[in-house]
Amino acid sequence: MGKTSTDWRNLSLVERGSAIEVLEAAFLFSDNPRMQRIILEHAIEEYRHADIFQELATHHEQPNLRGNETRALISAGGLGDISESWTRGKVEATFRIEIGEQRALEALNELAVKHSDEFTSSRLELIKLDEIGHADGLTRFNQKLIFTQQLRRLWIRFSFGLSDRRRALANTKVVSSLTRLFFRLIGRMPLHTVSDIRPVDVEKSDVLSASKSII
Amino acid sequence: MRTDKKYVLGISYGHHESAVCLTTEDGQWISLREECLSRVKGDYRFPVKSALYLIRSQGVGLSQIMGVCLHEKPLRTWLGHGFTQRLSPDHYRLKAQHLRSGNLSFETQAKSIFKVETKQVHYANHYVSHYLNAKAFSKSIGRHFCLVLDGYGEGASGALFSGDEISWRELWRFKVNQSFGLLYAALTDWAGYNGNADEHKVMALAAYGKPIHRDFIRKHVICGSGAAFEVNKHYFNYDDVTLAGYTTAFCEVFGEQNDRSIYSDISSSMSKIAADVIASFQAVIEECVSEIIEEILIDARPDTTLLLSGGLFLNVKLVSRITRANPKNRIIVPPSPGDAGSAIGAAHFLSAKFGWPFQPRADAFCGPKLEPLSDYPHLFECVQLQDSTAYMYDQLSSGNAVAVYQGFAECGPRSLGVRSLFAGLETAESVRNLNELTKKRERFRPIAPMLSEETLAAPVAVNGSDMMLSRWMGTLVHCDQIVGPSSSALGNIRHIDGSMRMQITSGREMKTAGTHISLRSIVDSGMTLGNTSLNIAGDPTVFTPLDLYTNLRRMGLGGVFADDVYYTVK
Repeated sequence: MGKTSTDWRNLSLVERGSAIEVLEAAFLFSDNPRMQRIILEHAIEEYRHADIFQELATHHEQPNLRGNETRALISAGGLGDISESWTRGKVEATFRIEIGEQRALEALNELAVKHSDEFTSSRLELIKLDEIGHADGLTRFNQKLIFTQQLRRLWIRFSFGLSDRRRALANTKVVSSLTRLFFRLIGRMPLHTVSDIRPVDVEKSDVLSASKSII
Repeated sequence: MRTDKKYVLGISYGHHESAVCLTTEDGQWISLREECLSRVKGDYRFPVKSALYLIRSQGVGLSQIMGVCLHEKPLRTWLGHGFTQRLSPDHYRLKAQHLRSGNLSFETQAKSIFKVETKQVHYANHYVSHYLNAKAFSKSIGRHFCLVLDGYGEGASGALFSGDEISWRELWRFKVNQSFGLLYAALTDWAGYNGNADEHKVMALAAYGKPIHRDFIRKHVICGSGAAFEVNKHYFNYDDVTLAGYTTAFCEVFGEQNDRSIYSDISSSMSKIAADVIASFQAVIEECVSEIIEEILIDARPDTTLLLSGGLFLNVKLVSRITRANPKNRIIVPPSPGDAGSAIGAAHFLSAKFGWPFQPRADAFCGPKLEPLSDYPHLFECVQLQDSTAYMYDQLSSGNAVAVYQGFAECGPRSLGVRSLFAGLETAESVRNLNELTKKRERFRPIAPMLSEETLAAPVAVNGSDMMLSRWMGTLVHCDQIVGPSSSALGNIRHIDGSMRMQITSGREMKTAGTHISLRSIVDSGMTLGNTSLNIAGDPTVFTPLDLYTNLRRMGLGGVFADDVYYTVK
């Protein structure tokens, strides 16, 4: 590939696409304000990279984009079908970004070889520095995230068991004491009272299944 | 707070600007564009994010959704275009792709996301959705006509309806080769911008040219008069989706396609040539649509109400010409007349089908309430100002751009003071700063002034329809016609042809919208403000506090007026 084959406008769209993806990930971290702010900083930097690539396109006298820019952004930015992204969790979202950053670094290295003029290389260097920081940070973060997710999973499993036992015990105590009181009043004590106590079937509850499907 | 109310969802997607409208069984409704959350300008994909946002923010359970309705019949749209003649193999390949990626899969998507059954999935007619969208902003209209003109839908390009409060009848359908929407999209593409997205930029460019090609266009390109006109296929390609919307014959007459970089010097000969072509087409479209409306109203009572809907009526120059030409008629254009607004029409349609009422609105603030920034202390810091109005006034007077983020989101494409950037207009520098440094948008685009109805020294030379439309889409007024604001302020924002798209607001309107208390005070004091959307470089207008944070940082703005106080960006 020669120098002229680098499509700077397309690269700008790729960066805008990743800015949007990073912004989407920030929404998932509403429970962690510090992390959310760091992710937003990342998104702002991606938008800045998009502007730099636009500047490079103008510098290299490339014509503006033709056709539908929305479709071009969705395609080049890898945003895909919207129904793919709304189900993503934290782990998938941050892993996608990490992989994207690593691929961006590879692409930047290739670009740096092809474009040695000062104007271009100085700007590519700026982007590269940012991307190295992003890739390192994300790798560390994702390792930590996996570890904490596993810990959380264990804790949830433990606490579910604990709460089930607690609830069952509490329910049993309350219901059996009420039943005892009731039947003491009427003078009879049924034998099946305790064995009939079952927890509420949360899976079949309308409200819960509705909210579950949103998430 | 969750209630036992029943809801329906109106959805539009698949072409451009997807949107969703959530309606209750008692006729209340709320609407949101997908681009607000997806951050992709003109997003055409299934509006899953906006739908779930509305559902969650209103505390609705999926079991409370009685039905979902698409704004059009997708198979009719798919079959109605591109099969009339033998076209390129690429065209059919793309058509085949649309089977999967377009809105033909609506039922599958709706069932998987909203957990509805097949019998709960409905489809409205494309033009009925547009019509009902206009009706949703029309209180006590009685008998009326509605002209819908857009690009393409269900094998047509427009329709004419007559109706009353509860019923309607389709009188006429415009053929695809009569599409002004496709023509304007092709012209936008030829001018160097994105068709179906940047038409407003091309409309702004028209003011820089003269309609020198008008006679040629009327004779050879748009032939015939009234509703019987036709666009000559020799100059426009409406069939093959893989080719440009204009033909080589068009380029032979009007010149080759332009690159938008030519407009950086608007006085250059190249941009002048392009502006002349655009001005000519704009003039002819205005003439043709005026003729159609003349035909519609010829036998009608002089005070007949006319609703205008469809993407073509986003063109404020066209609408202003129509309202001027028909001063006795009440003319209503919804805030979002394009495809995004037809989600409201689809919801209206399904409500009517279920026998539910649908409350018409008299304002454009039909979106959800913006989130308070106090919930985001890690991004914004509240600053205790002694007098926030005085501070805002100082900022505006000293030429700084002021960001405002408070109230109910607007449902149209225009920012009306809820998610806006403002500039004082007394200095030319403040307008230039706002346009070029803060917003980073084209130099040739004018900034719309926001004026208070109460403080205009004399009634502006506009009729009742203009006055109403100016609240949500603005009305074109020549700067000589406005009395009240200072001449220096008007001189700084007048467009090249002396016109300006004026937004007239009132204290009551701003209170309904929930705008910032300082902004209300300043507008009430009679200061003329330059108002533009709170976004940068053509991105969607901010919606969530996270977008606000990133946009303010990118624009280099240090703070925002929100929650009736002032916040700085951390």
